[in-house]
Amino acid sequence: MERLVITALVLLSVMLTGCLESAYRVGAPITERGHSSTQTFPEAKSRGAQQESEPAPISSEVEKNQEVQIAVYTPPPRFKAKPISSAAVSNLIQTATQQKNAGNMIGAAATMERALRIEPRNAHLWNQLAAIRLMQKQYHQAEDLASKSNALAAADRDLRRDNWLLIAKARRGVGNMSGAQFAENKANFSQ
Amino acid sequence: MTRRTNSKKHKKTKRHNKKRGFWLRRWLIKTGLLLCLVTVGYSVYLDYVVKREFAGKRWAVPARVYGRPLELYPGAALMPDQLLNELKYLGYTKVRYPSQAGSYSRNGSRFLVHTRSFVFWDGKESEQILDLQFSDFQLSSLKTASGKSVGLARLDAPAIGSIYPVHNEDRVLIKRSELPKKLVQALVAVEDRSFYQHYGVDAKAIARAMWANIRARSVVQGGSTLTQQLVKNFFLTRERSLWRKVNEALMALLLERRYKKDEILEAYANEIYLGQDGERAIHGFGLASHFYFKQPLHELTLPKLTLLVALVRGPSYYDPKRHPERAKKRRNLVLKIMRDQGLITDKEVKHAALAPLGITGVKGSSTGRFPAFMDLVRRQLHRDYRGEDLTSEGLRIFTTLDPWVQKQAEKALAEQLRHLSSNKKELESAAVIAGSQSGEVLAVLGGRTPGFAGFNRALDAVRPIGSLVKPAVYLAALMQPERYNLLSPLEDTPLSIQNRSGDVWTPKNYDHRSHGTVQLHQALAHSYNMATVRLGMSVGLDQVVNRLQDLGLKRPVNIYPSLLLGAISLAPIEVAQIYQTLASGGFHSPLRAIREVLTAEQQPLQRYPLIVEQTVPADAAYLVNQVLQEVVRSGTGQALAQYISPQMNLAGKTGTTDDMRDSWFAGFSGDKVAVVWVGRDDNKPAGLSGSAGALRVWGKIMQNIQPVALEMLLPESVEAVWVDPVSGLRAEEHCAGAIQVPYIIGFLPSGHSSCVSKSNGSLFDDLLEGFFEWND
Repeated sequence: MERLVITALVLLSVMLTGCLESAYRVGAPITERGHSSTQTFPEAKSRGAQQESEPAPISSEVEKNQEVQIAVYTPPPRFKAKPISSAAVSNLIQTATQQKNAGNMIGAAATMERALRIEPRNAHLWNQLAAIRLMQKQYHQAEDLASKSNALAAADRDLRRDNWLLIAKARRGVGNMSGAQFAENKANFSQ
Repeated sequence: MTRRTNSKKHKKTKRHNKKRGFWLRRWLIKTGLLLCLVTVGYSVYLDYVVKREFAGKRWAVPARVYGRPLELYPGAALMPDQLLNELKYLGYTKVRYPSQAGSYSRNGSRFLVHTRSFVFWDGKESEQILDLQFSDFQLSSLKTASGKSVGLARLDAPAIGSIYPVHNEDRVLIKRSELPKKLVQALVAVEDRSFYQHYGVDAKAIARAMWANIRARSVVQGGSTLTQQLVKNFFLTRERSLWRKVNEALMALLLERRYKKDEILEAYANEIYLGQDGERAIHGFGLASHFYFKQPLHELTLPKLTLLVALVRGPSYYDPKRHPERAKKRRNLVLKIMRDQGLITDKEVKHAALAPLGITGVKGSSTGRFPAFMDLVRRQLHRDYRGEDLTSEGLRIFTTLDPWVQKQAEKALAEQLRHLSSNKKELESAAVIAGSQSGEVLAVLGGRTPGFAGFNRALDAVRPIGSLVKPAVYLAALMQPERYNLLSPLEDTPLSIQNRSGDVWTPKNYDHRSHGTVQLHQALAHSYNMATVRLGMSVGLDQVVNRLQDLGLKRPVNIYPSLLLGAISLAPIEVAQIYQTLASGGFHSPLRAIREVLTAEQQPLQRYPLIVEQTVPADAAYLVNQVLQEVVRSGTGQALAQYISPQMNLAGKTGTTDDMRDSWFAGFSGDKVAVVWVGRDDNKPAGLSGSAGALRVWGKIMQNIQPVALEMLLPESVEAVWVDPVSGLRAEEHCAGAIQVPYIIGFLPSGHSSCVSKSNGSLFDDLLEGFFEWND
């Protein structure tokens, strides 16, 4: 009997450590990156938010809107993990974004390739090049580039998810519906 | 009466004369008309020729080929030496303060570089003064001269060659507006004083020249105007005859009638022959400036400009590389004439006359400094462009060549081959270096003599690859995870295989020994032949060929069992392609030598994008690469430790063929993939194994180019677990002799070694593991 109780207690504690462990693992990138994100831990979220933009003063918000609706569950907003890149690469990412917004996809791709020459193992750059190829409807390239990004993404779950969603779209683009479904499942799974 | 008769007679003669005069006049008029017609016709014809040639030939500019521009950014792995090398190659001059584009100053590890403006495919990089600071093997700070920090900048792209047509004329086109004022002044002063006054021919100059020639009883002076000289260069042959002189004068007149002085001057400046570089003829001031000084024309100072003008009279007689004294004398004469005409001051002359010729020391060769790489560029271009477009349209081609990597590799190869071939003179070698993630070809070495444009072994020496094929065999096996993992036992014991025609093949090990039962990773790391053949036969030859094709093999192969030991002949660049796919973890990128093509007007024409294709699953590629690291750590590639720290974790494979005819090494770092072949052109035994020959060259190359360490990320579907290496059963970190081995998830070893069952945490460990697997 005593042994059974002890076993049960030990089991319980193991489960708890498991939770803690998993919490640590999910939260880990935050400390590394400064502005990663997670969905599970509000403190992590607010920390990320502070880095992204000025936090809105909550009190004034409440004063303006007298009726405050409280949802049963609000999914925390996602903050895209900002890539850790050198100043050089950040400059290029900015340029590529401008080119993309101006519809200059070829230019944007060229700029991303230049960035990749500087940081060939930066998974975010591969992801962005994949996104450009997707916009150009180069579905096979988009998928393979996103896979490449995944291969270098390590523990960056947000990036993995983004890559899988991108792969899903690319597969849908070529009419591979089951493949797209699989990729979407992977995206949700890596959340 | 007599008078009458006389008068009659007179009349008769008069009439007769009248008649004759009439006929003569008519004949004269007719002939005159005909002559006129012929002359007019001929002139019209000449005019047509002038028009056609002038409009057409004027723009025949060979494509200019550039290497990669050097990227500057804080944190770049760049050394002062490397920057210096680049600046030298680009023809930047060292000064006290770089107030002019194309110059720099240095103070220890700090550089001030005044960059040139340059148009790239993605836009113009403006000139600016950069303040660079080096420390700890990198570019630690990058600022403008005014102290503003700069995120990223690039130097102008190094010109590495041009693609000129069969008649071997090369030029860099210069517009009239780009011609330096002093150059034009010197040219007119020395060659054609009345250029701006005459109509193409200068009678006074001809008379003066004739007088001078008569006095000297030989041809000492020419009375040709610049226009006549242009015509001569443009349309006419080199024969010396009166007829040619007449033609020349006529065409000069026509040219002047049709075109403005500035247009003629521009054509002249681009057409004039100014030197010879092997088979390549240097035409025009634009190219001559690059050829002699490695600088763009507009950067040249007075002594250099006047030297170019001095060359007009006789590029080979006054060749500053072969006859510097003669050239200097002539240059100083040009300076004197300029002063006499009041174009420059006494002070300027004195200063310029003392200046050295300023010729850059690099000996030119007819095909440029990088013939093997240019060969690759030409082959890739000819797939997409017509020959005449490449040789005449003035395209600007941006390639992936890294001149620094190329130079370091050339140095390493030459040095190592000297060591290797003390008594084997005929030894040759070839190498290809590429970016592992991008597939960009950084350097191509076609033989042991750098800059020698002969047989391009990197592209054309198709030789058996020996054990370099083995990673494909093991990849094929590891892609069947239900059958094979890194610890799978293989029999390295003698075997015979009979083919359909009844021939028996008995593969042997390099050391002629049998190693009994070995583990899969050991068989590859130590390159055991018998184990590999057994494995390959059991996996299936077709599977091995499929994997080779996945890795990038394009050439058709004969499917014989001997294929498993490399009885397949490839050129080094093809091997580089195969290893690139491995180096990037299964993502195949076609090797590229060209990035972009711009038109002569700097407009983007074409881009060769980075293509990535996942042709090999990441998990199996990871496992193979793990073993390729083991090759270097403790297998046949151990000798690399002499060149590169084992901490770099480089991966690679040796290859040796029958009777040591070919010595190969292929491998990669975190950023570069490289392949080296060493052997003999006559295919006789070279007496070198892969590790005794090619490895030494490969190691030295890598040492020189400072690669990035190879850190492979565990793919999602791979898990590294502790196992007992003897039994292959699961173990734990604390177990004696336990090692960590990566497995493809779903195919982890199921049983536990006795060490684990003795410990009491196994149940909880399993639970924990289950939890995490589920949670992931």
